[in-house]
Amino acid sequence: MTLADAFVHLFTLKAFGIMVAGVALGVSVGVLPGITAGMLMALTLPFTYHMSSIDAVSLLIAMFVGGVSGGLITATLMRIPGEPNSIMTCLDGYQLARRGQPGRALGLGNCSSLVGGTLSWAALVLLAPPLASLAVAFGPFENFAVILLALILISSLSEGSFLKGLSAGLLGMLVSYPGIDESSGIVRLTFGFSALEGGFNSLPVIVGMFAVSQVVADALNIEANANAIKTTMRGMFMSLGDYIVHGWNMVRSSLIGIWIGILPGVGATVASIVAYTTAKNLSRNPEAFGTGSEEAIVAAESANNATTGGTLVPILTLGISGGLTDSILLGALVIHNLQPGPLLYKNNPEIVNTIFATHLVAHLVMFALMTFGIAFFARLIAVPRAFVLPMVVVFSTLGAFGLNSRAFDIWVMLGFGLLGVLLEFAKVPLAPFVVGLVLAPVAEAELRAGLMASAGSYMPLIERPAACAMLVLSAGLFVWPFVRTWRMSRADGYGQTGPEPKEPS
Amino acid sequence: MTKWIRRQSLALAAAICTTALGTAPATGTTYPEKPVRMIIPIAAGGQTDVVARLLQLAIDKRKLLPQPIVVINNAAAGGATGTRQVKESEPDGYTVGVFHMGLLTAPAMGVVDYDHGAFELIGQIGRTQVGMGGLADGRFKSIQDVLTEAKTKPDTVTVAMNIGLLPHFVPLMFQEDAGIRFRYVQAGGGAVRLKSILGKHTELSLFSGPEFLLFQTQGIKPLVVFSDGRVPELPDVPTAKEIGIGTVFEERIIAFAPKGTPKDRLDLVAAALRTAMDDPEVNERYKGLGIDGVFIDGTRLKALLDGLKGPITKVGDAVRKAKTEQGEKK
Repeated sequence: MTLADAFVHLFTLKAFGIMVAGVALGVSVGVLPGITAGMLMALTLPFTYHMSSIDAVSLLIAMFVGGVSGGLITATLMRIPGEPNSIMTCLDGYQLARRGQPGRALGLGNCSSLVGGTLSWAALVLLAPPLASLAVAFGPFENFAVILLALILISSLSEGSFLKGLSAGLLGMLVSYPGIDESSGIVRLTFGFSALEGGFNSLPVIVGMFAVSQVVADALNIEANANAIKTTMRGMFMSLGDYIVHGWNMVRSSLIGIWIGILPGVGATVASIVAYTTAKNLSRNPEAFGTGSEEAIVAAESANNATTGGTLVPILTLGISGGLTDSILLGALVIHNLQPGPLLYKNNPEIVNTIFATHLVAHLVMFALMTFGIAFFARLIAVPRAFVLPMVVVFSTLGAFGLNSRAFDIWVMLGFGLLGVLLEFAKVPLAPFVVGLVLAPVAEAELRAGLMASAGSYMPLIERPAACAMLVLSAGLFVWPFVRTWRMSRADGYGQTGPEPKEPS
Repeated sequence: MTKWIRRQSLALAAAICTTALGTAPATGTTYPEKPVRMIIPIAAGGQTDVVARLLQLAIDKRKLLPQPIVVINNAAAGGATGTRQVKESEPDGYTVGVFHMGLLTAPAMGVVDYDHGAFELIGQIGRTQVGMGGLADGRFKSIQDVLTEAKTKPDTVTVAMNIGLLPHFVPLMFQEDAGIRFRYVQAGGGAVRLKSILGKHTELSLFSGPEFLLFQTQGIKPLVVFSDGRVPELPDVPTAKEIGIGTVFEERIIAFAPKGTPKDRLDLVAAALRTAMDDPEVNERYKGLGIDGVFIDGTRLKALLDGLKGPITKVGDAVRKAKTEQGEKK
């Protein structure tokens, strides 16, 4: 089966129906806070045993694509991430929606998702083998340097006080420490609680911090919020001019998303944070970020969808999976007696081509469904919050419990909800917290793996060209915001345009 | 709209409650009169999970038990929370677990304070051979090359491992038996270790028989296997015994239940699993996955695992001692 055949097959009634159902379900769980596409796919896995391998793969890919996209709706309309990867969209999407342009905010997110997904599709189809060999050549030291680069970006994420941002980042890192130390296999920082052996799973933590705390904030202010947003659905589609203005941002953010998608264990949440902060650092209007910046929405949403193509690269070329969703895809292939890895191209071209075709068409279907869905969901904003907020709590709780069927995770979610309320109250930004939470374990694992291989020597960080280059870039990125503010203050004669830089003491 | 969502969420909540209530004590006399939960302490999609689900499907399809089996993955803490969940469940036959040799390595690493003795063992429901290998065009052409190099230059030959699990413990036991020392580098699951070797970040790793068959096309060469005799699918690869080193180890997929589960209920589950394993379709799939469908009953399995306890604990103690010393140095 060639790629063309795969496309033709996908447009037969049954195959198309399965794919549309997959996208629709994916978008729906994407909209629901706490319930992720990964859970949907895990629940679906048993049903796919009875399907043909082509239908099964197509269904799961469609859910994967839909799930990555749906989160932006909740993020934009309620400032609650539907999926963890839409947390950055909460920051600016919600602000733009509140300024009376929910249609524009959702439209920008939707169009950027489509562009990010399509670019990642092109990378997947055209560049998978060379990208995979590049990923293989990336060892622990290179991976560590990439993660460090992302961690450095925390510094530019902190709106307002640099120190508050840094504290949030460090707090996030601290929360990631309890549990089994991945590098020594020994349990640490559990204080004797066996429930903490698994650590704080990032999903209930993020859901608590962003969804539960937002519910509390809204509930405290329930009358005021009822009709705060005037809904105009204008600007649902980006004009040609928009694409020209945001073109480079979209491409850059998509490239970031594709590459982060390929790295094991990092994922779409980090991709959107990195793309967001990169866009902020390179923007002419960095001060607009966090207040409803269009650039910000475009960056976050192109990047998280672009990880979908990137994630599939190591699965198809090497048979390697990093996160939950890709492990399930891999498991589905194994269950259908297919061997993931380079032989898949030779032995089962029909599967590879089905994956390719579905990935692209699912993005188009997602775009269409979201366009209709947005017109519907935007009306939700007029529904009194008293009806919507309890549902958010119900779904968040279900999601937290469903993760590992543990009541402990529900308590984690509620606890971090409380912490989120306190941090918001203290005007501490939450995004750096997530960066620390998600990236610190990966950075630690990679660095320690590298040090195990080099018997404790840090020299490979400097000796290996790619690692060294990224270290230099990290240093540059760290200094850049200070330099820019300094230059701006000199040019304008006053220094109020950006966040006040302070050297960490 | 809201009504619809409310109804849906109620239905969902009800569904979740039924699974959560699986721990309630049984009241009637006919077992099973409600679904049996099967807790798998690894993420969906891994080998142990695939085997467990294959058997679950076959049991449900052929009605080998009057009630369905509900699979629950609890992958937190490298399996520790999943096994603990089984351990702390009511011993009424409505909770079973399926795990691998992590049941023995986790206590040896000090991650949990209980081993297979804290459970009723239902039986072994699958087995795979394991061996060590590296790049086919790397510097080691045979296991003798590895031994010579590691003997003359201890702590230089790198091994990609998955800490606390077999890819860590089996090379440790092998080096103990051979009187050599490897340098261990944490990588992760089979595919991640493959990537580490392909990228020349490490030189050797433990893989299972089916992994070797899969990875051979990518340039991985098995150098030694730790089975009793040669592995039929890898006829050219010597066993450790053949080169005079006594390391014998296999990965086993183990079904177990909380301590104190009535024997007649365990026997029912064991019989269902065993019949499912004989199903020609399941047999075919086991072959495809490279898994030996050898059933070993609980009593014999217990004796086997008891015998492995000593060497595993010894290796685990050495690892933990090295860690504390390292910590003290800092």
